[in-house]
Amino acid sequence: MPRYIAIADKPGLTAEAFSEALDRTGKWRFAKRAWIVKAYCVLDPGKLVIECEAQDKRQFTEWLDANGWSTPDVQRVDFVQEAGEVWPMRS
Amino acid sequence: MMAIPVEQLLTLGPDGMLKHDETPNVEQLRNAKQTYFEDVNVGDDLPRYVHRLSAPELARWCITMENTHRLHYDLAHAHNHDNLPGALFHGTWRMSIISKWLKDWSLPDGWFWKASWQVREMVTANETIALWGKVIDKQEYGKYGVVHVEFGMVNEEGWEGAPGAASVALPYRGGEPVPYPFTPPDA
Repeated sequence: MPRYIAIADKPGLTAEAFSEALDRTGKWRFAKRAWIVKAYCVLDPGKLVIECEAQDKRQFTEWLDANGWSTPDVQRVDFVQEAGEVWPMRS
Repeated sequence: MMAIPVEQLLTLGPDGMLKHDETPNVEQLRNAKQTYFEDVNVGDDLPRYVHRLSAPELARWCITMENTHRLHYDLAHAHNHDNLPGALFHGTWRMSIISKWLKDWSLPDGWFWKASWQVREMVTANETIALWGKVIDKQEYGKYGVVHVEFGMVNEEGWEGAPGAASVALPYRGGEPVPYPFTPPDA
């Protein structure tokens, strides 16, 4: 499945709001074939970086919208480096 | 004690579910009170086992089973190579948990005879899972009775991960233990 990354500026973001959006399986695995891989939260100034795997980009943007984290900056990822390995992302 | 209905359990959230775990400890198993064939009625719920499986526990099961597939313990590989939501709970561990649960229920003088089930859904580390089981039929034979059960293993969202059916032989009250080695009634 494709990997997407969203970068959003959300001033006023709180730890509670971030946790509440992701605190159980059904929230971060929000569809049978769509889930949040990793999410970064910077409280001040309020920035989110969220990785998602989904069959369709729209699934991810709808999830962002539902959490009040809409952003035009959602991109498809080509490569990931983690733990010393570079991984090509599948289409 | 009647197990909490699974539908009600799922309303409690992951932490609330864990409070209803009825998994017996070793001492309780050693002193298990026999469930007799006459004690069981169609529609009864089996004891509720609720688990939350951590990443180290998944790794320990890999070691136990000598199963070194990285999707069970290497999160980076699971994410980036296998495109999975996380390190996955093993199908063989589900088998083990189900077998233990049915064996525990029949102790000390009954016998978990047979079961079949499917492995469905991806369960990842830190999810909460609950075993559910319901008696759907019971049959009397010469020296023991057989109780038929349908069961499953749901996660905190109610996603069914192991739908199946089992047959458990239980002694009659005042009767003899189920013979060992076990001989199926139709053998």
